[in-house]
Parts: sequence; C-alpha cells; structure tokens
Amino acid sequence: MNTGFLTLFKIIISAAFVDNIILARYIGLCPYIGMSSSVANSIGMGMAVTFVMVLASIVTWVLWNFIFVPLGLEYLRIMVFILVIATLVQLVEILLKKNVPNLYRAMGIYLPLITTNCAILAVTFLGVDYGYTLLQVVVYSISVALGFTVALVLLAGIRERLRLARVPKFWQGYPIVFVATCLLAIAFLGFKGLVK
Amino acid sequence: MMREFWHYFRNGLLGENPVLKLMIGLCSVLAVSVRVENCLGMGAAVIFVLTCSSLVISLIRNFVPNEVRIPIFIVVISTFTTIVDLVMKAYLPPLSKAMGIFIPLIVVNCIIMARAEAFASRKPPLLAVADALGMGVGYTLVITAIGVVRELFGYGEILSHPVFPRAYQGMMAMILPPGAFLLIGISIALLNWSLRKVKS
Amino acid sequence: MKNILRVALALTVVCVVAACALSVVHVVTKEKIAEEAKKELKEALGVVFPKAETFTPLDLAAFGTLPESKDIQFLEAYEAQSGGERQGLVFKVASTGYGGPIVLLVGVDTKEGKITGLKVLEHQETPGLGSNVAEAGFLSQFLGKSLESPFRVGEDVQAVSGATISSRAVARACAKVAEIVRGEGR
Repeated sequence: MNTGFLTLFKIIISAAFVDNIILARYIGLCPYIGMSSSVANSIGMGMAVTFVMVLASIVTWVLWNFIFVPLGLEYLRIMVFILVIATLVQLVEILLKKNVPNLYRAMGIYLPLITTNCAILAVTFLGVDYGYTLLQVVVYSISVALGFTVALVLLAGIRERLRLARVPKFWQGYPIVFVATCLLAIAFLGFKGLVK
Repeated sequence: MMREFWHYFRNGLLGENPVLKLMIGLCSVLAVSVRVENCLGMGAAVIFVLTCSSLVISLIRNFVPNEVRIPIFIVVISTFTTIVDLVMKAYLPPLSKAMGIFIPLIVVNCIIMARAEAFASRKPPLLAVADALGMGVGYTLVITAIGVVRELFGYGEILSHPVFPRAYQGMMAMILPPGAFLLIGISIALLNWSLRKVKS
Repeated sequence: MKNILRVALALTVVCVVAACALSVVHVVTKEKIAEEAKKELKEALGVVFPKAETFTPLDLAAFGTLPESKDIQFLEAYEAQSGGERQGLVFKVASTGYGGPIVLLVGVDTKEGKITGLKVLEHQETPGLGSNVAEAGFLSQFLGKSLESPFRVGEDVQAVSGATISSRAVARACAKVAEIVRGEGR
C-alpha cells in the first residue's frame, strides 16, 4: 500500500508540474492562448476542462479495457474516444447553460472548442497507454487538469498586467503572450528532477 | 472558378495563415518541429487529412442535418486520421514513432475542425479543396521554417545532416519548450511586421 | 419525428461507412505492422548480440526470483544461439530514469561472462542531456565488461555529464542482469 500511495504522489507531481501538459508537452495550446485573457475566464475554463477530462478518462478507460482490447478493436480508438469527449462536452454545455448562464456566455465559442482540446484526447490516450489502473487514471487526469489550470491562470495573470504595459508595436497581441509563455516554461523547467 | 481557387489557396498560405494569423494548430507545430524530417512528415499528414476531410464534408454538406454536423465532421476527420496513423505505422515506422502521439492528435488539430465548420461545409468541393490545400501548405511552411531553426541551432544539423562544425555544442534552448514558444512569438511578430509593411 | 429519423439516419450512415473504411485499412495494414514490430526486435537483438544467429524467447520464470524493485523490472528474455548452441542471453529491462522508465536490451555472453551489447529502445529523458545515454558514446563503455564489475556510476561507469540519474538507470540495468546471470552459475 505504501508503494501505491508513493506512485500516486509521483503521478500527481509529474503530471501537474514536471510534465505540465502545456508548458512541457505543448498539448492544449489553443484554449490556453484563447482563454487566458482574464483570470476569471481561466478559472472557469480550468474547471470545465477538469470535469470533462476526468469523466472522459474514466469512460474511455472502461471502454478500452472491457471492450476494445478483448475484441481487438484498437484501431477504432481515435474515432470512439473523440466521440465520447464530444458527447461529454455537449452534456457540460447543457448543464452550464441551465445552472451557470454567466459562465456559459463568457466562454462563448471556447466551450464547444473543449472538444478539440488536444489535452483531453491526449490524456485519454496516455491513460490507457501508460497501463494505469482506474484509480491511477482518475488521479492522473485530475493532476493534468490541475497543471493545465495552473498554467492557464498564471498566464492570465500576466496578460492582465500586460494590458497596462507599453509593448513594442509588432509584439502587441499574441507575440508578447508567447514570450510570456516562454518564461513560464523556463520556470516550470525548474521542476525537472523533482520526481526521481 | 479557377481564379477563386487560387484566391482561397493563397489565402491559406499568407493572409489567413492558420498558425500565425488564425492561431490554430499550434500544439503540433511546437511539439513536432524539433527535426525538419518530422515537420515534413507532419505537414504531409495534415495536408492529407485536411484535404480529404474537407472534400468529403463539402460533398455531403447538403445531406447533413445541422444538429449532428459536429459529430459527423468528427467521424469523417477521425477516419482519415486513423488511416494516416495505420499507414504510417505500417510503412513508415520510424517516422511514426518520432511523431508519437501527435499523429492521432491530428483529429483535434483545430485547423481541420475549424475549416470544416467555417468553410468546407458551406462551399463547393473544388473551393473546399483549394482552402484545405492552402491551409495545409501554409501550416507546413510555418512548421518547417521553425523546424529548420530549431534543428539547425539545437543540433547543428538539417535533416540529420551535420551543417555546423562538430565542435558546435547545440543550443538546448531551441530543443526545449521555452525556445519553441519564443520562436513562435518571434514568427508572429515578424509576420505582423511584414504584413503591415505591405498594407501601408 | 421525421427530423429525428433524418438525424439518426445521417449519423448511422456516416458511422457505418467510416467503420467499414477503417476496417478495410486495418486489415490491409495489420500484417505489415506486426511484421515491422518483429523486424525491429530482431534488429535490436542483432545489435546487442552480433555474433548470434538466432534468438529464442525464454520464459522469465525459468530464472527464479528476479532481483526486481520499483526501479527495475525484467520484461523479456531471449537465448542467443549460434551453431545450435547457446552463446548467451539478452534481457529486456525497464529501469527508472529521470523522465520515466528507460527500456533497454542487455546482451550477455554466458560463456565468457561479459556484456556483448546494449541498446536503448525507449526513454523519456531530457533531449540533449539524458537522451545521450542512448548514444554509442555512452553505451560503448559497457561493451566487453565482465559480469563481476560493480556497474556503478563513479566507480567503473562514467556518467553523461549532467545526466547522472539517466546514466545510473542504465548502469543499474546492467548490474541486475549481471546478478541474474551470475546467480545462474552458468
């Protein structure tokens, strides 16, 4: 049981920080760039992504281990996994529209865009490729979503400050955002070696 | 009709370059562009999936009920992505390994979905193909340009052929994420600068 | 009602066509993919044990209790043969490195008690740093090493500068393989 907890702890640290899905793996950049203009939006996006990511990981893990592998249908995985995610995002959309309409409106086009969030699909693939147990998959997806949200909120904080700064002409808009991301990535590089 | 074809093709290359102007398809650009060989492979794969998907979606656009268009687009795109994945695993295994998870991730490459929704589902097949090819080639140009810089300064090689003298140590920053982010920022700034010059 | 039917029909038709297309491609490529995997393994084994003609997979259970831990796992074992005789063994081992497990093949000449070769199959080490443990520059120092060697970084193994953990992982793999083979007494 000791090893069990230690492994879980390692998964959390490496998924959220050492191998941060955005700053170390480049996955999930579109919503990262698109939604990081305000801290409030970022937190909302982070929560929505967490919800979808964890659910999607569980559903796809179950499908993979109980249907795909026994039936030799591995080659259909891209199609089915992404359809699962699309369905879940639809559900989230309906839930948000009913219960938290403000957030729903603020997210606008980025909500359906969660479907094409590479991060969610990537996590579903990695969860089964790493051979995790169901518990590990849940912990893994939560950790990745956590790392995603942290990176997103950090960048949003910087961008809110940038609005008041004097940015050179051609760097205005996205270029300076990427420079900021570069610096964040350097900071996160410092986590390497945290997990042996 | 032919004039429109070239118009949309050129659009995808520069004016509405998917990576530098529309800001879509970024994940794969940064992750894959460490070696030029991978960039070319990825570009080819994206062009294939993008063009085939756009063509099919354009052909069936009048038969697809609006409510389920997204799932149907997804099925079409994922079918072609899976085909590329399987074919590469069978006939180009080292390249497939080098690109790893980013081949199956083509299905969520924002470029393909965005163009399907914004263009292919509303225009006739020939124009859809023009747009797809333009976007695909535009994507390939950007990813390869970045790849050239990263491989050259990161490893001192191009296409795994040594270019710099053996003593060259290699700038690690180019290979790791921070360098990639910085390069993209610079590329966008450069594009802004060159387009603004043209406008005025 | 009619609308739901239309929607369902469209969705079904597209899915069925897609599934058929994929199944066809899958069947066509299945053989080739399996072949490639086999070829890759054969090539890797050949690099690790060049003198051998054939390789036969062995059951790991035949080696009794393996010196495994959370940092090292034995995945596969092969007997290297030449002229119908056993020349040595090749082990596929997963050793925990910096960014994850490093999977490598370790070839051992059982007659002379030496390492015949190493090949890193998979790793997630830092490119430009830890990734250098997969290069000949680092691995060549293991060739011909006696199984009695300590296989310790700092002692008889020189690490890649700046990549001690990755280097230790490879050394550990050799040490454990040596342990098994010595224990066999053959």
